Amino acid sequence: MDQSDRTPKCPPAASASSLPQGHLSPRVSFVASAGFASVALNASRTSKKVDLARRNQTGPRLVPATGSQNSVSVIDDLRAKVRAIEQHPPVIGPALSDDAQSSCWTLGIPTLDKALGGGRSLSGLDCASVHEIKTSTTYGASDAAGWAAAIGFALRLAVRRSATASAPALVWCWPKALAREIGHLYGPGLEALGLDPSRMVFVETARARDALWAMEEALKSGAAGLVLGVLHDLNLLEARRLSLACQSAVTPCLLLTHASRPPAAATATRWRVGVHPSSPHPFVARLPGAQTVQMTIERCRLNPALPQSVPFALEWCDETHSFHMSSPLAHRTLGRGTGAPVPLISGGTFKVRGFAGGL
Amino acid sequence: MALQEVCDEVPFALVESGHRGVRLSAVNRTAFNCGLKAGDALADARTRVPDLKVCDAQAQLDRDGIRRLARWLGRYGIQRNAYGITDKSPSGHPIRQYGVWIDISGVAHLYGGEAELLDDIETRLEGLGLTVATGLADTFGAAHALAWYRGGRSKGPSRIAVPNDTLAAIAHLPVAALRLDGARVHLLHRLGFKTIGSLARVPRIALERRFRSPDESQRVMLRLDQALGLKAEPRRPLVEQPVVSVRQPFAEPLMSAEPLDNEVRDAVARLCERLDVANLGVRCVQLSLYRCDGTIGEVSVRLSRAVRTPEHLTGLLFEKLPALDLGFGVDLLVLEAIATEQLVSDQQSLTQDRGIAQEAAHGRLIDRLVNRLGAGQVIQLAAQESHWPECAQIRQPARVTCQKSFREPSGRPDRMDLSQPGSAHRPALLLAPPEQVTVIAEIPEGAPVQFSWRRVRYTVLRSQGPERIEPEWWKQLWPAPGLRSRDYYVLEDQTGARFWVYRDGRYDGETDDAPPGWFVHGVFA
Repeated sequence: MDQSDRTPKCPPAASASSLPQGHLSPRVSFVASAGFASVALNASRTSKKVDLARRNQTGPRLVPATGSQNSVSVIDDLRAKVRAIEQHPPVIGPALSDDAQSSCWTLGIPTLDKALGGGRSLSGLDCASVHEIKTSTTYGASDAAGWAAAIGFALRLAVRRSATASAPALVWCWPKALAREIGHLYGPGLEALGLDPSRMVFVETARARDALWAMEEALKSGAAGLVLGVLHDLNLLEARRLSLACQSAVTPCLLLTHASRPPAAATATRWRVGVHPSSPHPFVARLPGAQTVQMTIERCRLNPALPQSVPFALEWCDETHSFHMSSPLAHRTLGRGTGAPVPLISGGTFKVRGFAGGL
Repeated sequence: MALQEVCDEVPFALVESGHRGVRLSAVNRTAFNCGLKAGDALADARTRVPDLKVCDAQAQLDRDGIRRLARWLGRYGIQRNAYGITDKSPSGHPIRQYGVWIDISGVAHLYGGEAELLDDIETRLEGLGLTVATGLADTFGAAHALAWYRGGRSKGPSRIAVPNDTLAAIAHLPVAALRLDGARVHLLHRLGFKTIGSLARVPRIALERRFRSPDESQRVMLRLDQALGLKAEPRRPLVEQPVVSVRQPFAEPLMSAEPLDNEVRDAVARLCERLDVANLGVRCVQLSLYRCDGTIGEVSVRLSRAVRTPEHLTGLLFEKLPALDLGFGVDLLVLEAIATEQLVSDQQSLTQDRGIAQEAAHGRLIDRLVNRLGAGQVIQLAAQESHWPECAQIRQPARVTCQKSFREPSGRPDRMDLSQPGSAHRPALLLAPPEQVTVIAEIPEGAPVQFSWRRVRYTVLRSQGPERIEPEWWKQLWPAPGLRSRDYYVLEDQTGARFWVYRDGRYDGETDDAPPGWFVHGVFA
């Protein structure tokens, strides 16, 4: 479906009623416009049901399907059901406890964090679920460089997590073969990133299955502030098990997988991370500047509207231990469909409109 | 194999070849009754008993077998071990004798007395098809003499020496029972000492003069004193003495896993109760399952910190139980705390500090990981004071206690280095060993402009360096005299990937050195 056609049709009353106070949330705008599109195409009976679902937003509605309906209306009903479910934010019980809120896990970019949180009070990455980071195949870059970029992003997220997590330990699990290929983690390098290697436990297993078991065990134990796993790929069942383990002990899990393998479902977010030329050095042009990664958010469960295909570059600041948008991208326009391009950044502060405009 | 076909009715012997030809090293009962004995030449034996079956002796199998038996005999006393004595036959052929000693202090009453204990040992071992002789005394030497030289091998009170009256029990035994070698026994016989009693009654000074040297007499006297308990004879047990142990015998051997699980759970609970009383926590636990067929199954669990939580210990043991074969049934279960530490109960914190609970949870996690994967797969990094990049860290088994921090050593460059503000000089990923690359550099001493690594060509857009790292002089002496200084560069290619590349050696170095080579040592993550 072409989103640019739908967005202008959005009825002003509906969007105004469902918008939260303050910022314009991209999630809400997406759902409102989609609902309206189905109403315009189909019978009025469906629109009532959609309205019902929209008015009462506490949970997913089940629309009774009778045998007399023709196949088109059945499909419409099902679509309405799916939309009603999508409209409702997923239920994540333990994540909403005080403990989880106190130890929120952000990237350090307020707008992005807020968008990742899906408009709830919790911002940043969900601390009770699996986040997948996939390597990206950049032309001209080797596999090792791709892994290094993904591992670098994961390690920097770990730095941000370790600053707030109540449990100090970080558990890193990977198969030995992969460690030989990519390189072993190096204490002085980790320390330079801002991690304390003495608080990390490394599990290097002979088989990938053992690494998965170790990850699950670490997640369930509640002793780890963050569990990182590097694997070639994993199937739905394994991802689901990890996700349940995350929820049971409110421990986040970062999963690094290879670009060539299909993504693991059952993850809260999925990032595709690749190499990106660093920003210029402030003083000497020939020196490498602050390290930068290029990434695409491919999936965000709390905010299904956030994923977009346009990659952006994040720069890591060693002084503040936080990410920020790489400056050339910040002035790039991502707006599509709304007529005038909407700048992603204006006046030095981010606006959520930047993300909404991109949809 | 031939061994299995042999039954007791056929004369059978094990043979081994030595410098005096092929000789018998062991015979079975039928062959013994035919007049054969260990040490005879095979040719002679064949002449006397034409239908003698023989097989090559395998000394290693003998040793393994007696050691296995010693493990299993741990059911009669924790401190036990196998021992071997090499004796010389009259023909000069060495004959090995194997035995097992068991320290039964405080055990006999469990079987109803010392005689009943020995009966139990003999019954069980004869059930396994072994010929057994036992002896029981205050000292190892006396017990050995009673077991081997009692004569007639009859069951009866004579095999037990009355406490504090060892001499009376062994006085009638030949002097060879004192574990003396053939030459000394021969000398004692020539002197007229046939029994231990006659030797013990002679005044020491009178005896010393009859030997060639005082040293010779000392050795004989030492064995006598050891047998009589006048001199100490330390013996090394097979396993360390456990601090706390719990044993659970079963009237009916356990054959299936389910009742065993319950028994293990009970045993762990009892062990933890006893540890609790003593304020101890356990660092190493061993579970031994004594099977009825004379074998033993053992699992041991090591813990990263002292604990006495039954659930945790049970979980760790259950992880390893399925690997144990119950065989024909388990009739005794022994759970031992091998290593313990003082462990005072954790006090509830008044504040919301969850440090103790966190540490306990961390320890439990490491235990579970190590228990399943092995200590080599669960590691931690600790800093080491060295400039040399490979030596700046050591990988060691994960522990709960804090490792040496990486902030201390001087291996890292100064943070005030303005050439690269706020950026690190050390990569997060280190290749071990470094991988050689082919490099194109503008000038030999300069940074590369292009390099090929793993068949991919990288064009360097930005570079930083060199950072020269010299090997520590003491490492050049030993263990690696060939170490050369390295010039490290941080290279960023056109895609943004960043590598830590070094040149091994210098162009202006000694001329007899090999030309410098380039290596990728790490990837910046």
